[in-house]
Amino acid sequence: MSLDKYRTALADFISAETGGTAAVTMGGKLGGGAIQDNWAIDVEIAGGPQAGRHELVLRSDAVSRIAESRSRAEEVALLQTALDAGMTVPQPFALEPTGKVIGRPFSLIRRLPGVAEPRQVLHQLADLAEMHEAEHGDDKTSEAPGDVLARRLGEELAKLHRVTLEAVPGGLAFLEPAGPDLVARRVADYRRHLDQLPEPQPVLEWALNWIEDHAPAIERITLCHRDFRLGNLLIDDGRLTGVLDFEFAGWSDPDEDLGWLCARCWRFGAFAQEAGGIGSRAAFYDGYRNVAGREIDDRRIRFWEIFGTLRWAMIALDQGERHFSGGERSLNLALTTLRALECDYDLLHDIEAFDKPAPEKKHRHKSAGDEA
Amino acid sequence: MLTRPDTDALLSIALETLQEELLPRLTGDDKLTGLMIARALAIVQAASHDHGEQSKRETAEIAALLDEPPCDDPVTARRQLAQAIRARKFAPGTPDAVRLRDHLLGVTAARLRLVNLKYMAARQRRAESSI
Repeated sequence: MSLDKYRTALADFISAETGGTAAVTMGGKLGGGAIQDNWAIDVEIAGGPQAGRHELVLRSDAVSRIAESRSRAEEVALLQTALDAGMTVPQPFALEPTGKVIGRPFSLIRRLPGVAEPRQVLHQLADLAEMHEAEHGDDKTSEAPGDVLARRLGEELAKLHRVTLEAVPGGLAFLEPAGPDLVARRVADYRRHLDQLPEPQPVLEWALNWIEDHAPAIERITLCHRDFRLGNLLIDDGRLTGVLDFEFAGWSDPDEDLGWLCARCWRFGAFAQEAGGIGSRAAFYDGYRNVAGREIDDRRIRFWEIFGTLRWAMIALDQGERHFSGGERSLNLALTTLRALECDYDLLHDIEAFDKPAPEKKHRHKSAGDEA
Repeated sequence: MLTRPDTDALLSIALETLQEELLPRLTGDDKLTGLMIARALAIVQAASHDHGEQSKRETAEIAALLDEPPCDDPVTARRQLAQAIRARKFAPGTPDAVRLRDHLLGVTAARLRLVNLKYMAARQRRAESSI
């Protein structure tokens, strides 16, 4: 889809929204949107309270969506809530929920500096780490750039987790309520969803049983991002410049967000950097603890890592179905299905490690899958 | 049936040409698309060498786990296994549960070996914190 043919319609829409006269310059399509499409657009507004130049991102739904994702209107409401909570997020600029302007609903948000693509971020951090080492050598008092960023991410999540149902009474009414039966309900949902998939998933069934049997008591429910990881974080020179993509956000156990970032599937191959492939788990936990003012139970986070691995497997299978159903033919989506196999492999190992006392983790159990 | 070149040989030279001649000249999004095509062809190539052996092993193992006659269709066999797991027929801590996990790990590893051998290798080299 090209947006060029909608330039005039977009200018008219923005003019009506702002009370000025808008001229629109279309930029290129931005990366990172598997579930929605993102385009850079620049807007010059003459007259009205928002006169001036605005660098924006237009976000519209992709051709086919997946079950968990939210509408653009809901995402804008979530973005505004996060902004009010003090998070570093792009400011919403306008919303078109009807689909009449470009054929699909869309939102306009402020464009922020930085890159989101995980490999680019990891290269950025590797370069910074090299410079840091040259400058500080073995000086343990100077924190490595990856740990600085991991700490910052912990602080950022803690800000979001201050938002409770009581803090936004009546707001975000579109979000499903969550309570002590949170995990049981998700397990039931996933089983129903597995029944709708064309192929059975024995490993996921096995993991769901384990999750059902090991679910921790839910001690608090807060607003959660539910996709807080590289790819949805804008990073510029090793600094966080924006948290993106609130389309999976909802009420949940805040430990789910911490576990999601630490899950192996979101370390992008940098397995030793347990906080999202970025930095240490200790720095991430510290940053969170300092702002949230509460202790972190590592075992709860590890439970949510396993839950997150299962959830990513379900999403990967869903992504594949967008292709296989004929809704959106794409080699990328077809290959994404295969990521579920990596999750299966991680689930089988991580659940075994969780069930074993910590000292035994050093002595690897040799099993059928490790032979070759 | 093609014999000279056979399908394996044709796939092999197509992949080689893509990787050695075309991919080095591609940039940006085209490079990413090229890499995805190369990956898909490499998976097809690896899977074509299996000749259904893995499926036969899998269905035989599932039959043994369920104590039922083997089913020729791996998807049907997997469905029977998935139903048995959901019905809690493998109680945690029992020898059956250990056999089940070994089976699941063996099948998963065999399939992952076809699609992403590097992931398995990196996963096995992991270093974990003790927090």
